[in-house]
Amino acid sequence: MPTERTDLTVFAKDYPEARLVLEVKPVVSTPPEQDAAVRQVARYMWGANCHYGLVMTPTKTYVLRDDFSSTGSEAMRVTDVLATATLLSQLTGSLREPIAPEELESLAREWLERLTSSYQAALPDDPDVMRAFFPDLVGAVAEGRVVAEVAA
Amino acid sequence: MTASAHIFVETNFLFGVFRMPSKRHRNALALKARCDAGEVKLYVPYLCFQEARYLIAKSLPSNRCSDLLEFHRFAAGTKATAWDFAEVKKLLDAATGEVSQTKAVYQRELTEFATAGRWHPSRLEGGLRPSGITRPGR
Repeated sequence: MPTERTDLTVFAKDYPEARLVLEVKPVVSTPPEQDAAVRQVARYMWGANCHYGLVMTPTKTYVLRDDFSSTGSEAMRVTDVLATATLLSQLTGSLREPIAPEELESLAREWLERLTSSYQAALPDDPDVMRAFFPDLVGAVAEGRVVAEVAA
Repeated sequence: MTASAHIFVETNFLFGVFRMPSKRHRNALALKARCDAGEVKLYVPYLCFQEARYLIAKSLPSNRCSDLLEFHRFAAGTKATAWDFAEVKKLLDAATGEVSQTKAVYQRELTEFATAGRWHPSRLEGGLRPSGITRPGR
């Protein structure tokens, strides 16, 4: 049974500033604001002064953003929930659902690298996706460096 | 009596602690606070101080508020604006001032940290010196 987990972070192009963190998880509980993985990402965002986060599961992707309304990780809120198959459809070429969990980590990295180089090549022509990502999140990761951290 | 933890940090830590205050990394600030309190010992390669100076300078925005000022003038010229520009200007001036203030002090703050003796290069000198890592001032 695999015990590794993969965290992906997009850093600014020229300096070590975290712009987005992405965590791949098998599932997120309801309500997402109380899910342990979502809270962990929110705490990471607060500690690193990072304003955007994604928690990606095989079926849904949760978008977290800093609303600057309070001090602490509580300011990192789930603002959008998107279908992962839709979000990755430019990469996978289909809207099939769900995506196999064992595929998801590598797909997430490939998609994130595409997003940093060209959001038009990464994001589908979907109004919910565009509303969640454009313009601020797309701008934050543009030309960024995708770094994977693998922990045992 | 408990032994202090020994932690090896690099440029990311220095960048997170000494960059513009509103953009500092809270995890790095918490680690520095533990170092200041004697709870941990930090080991920092000297070259990281030079790299941090370079990156902090590079990360300082050169036109932090000009987009917003241009948008205000455009909006004010085309329709009645719903904001009090005098109040908004206070915010923008303060944000611009943070850039100027950081530019004025970050090199001194880094130097003070490097020479304050709150970090500990001795363990590095044996194992890592061959890689070019040494103590500031030597």
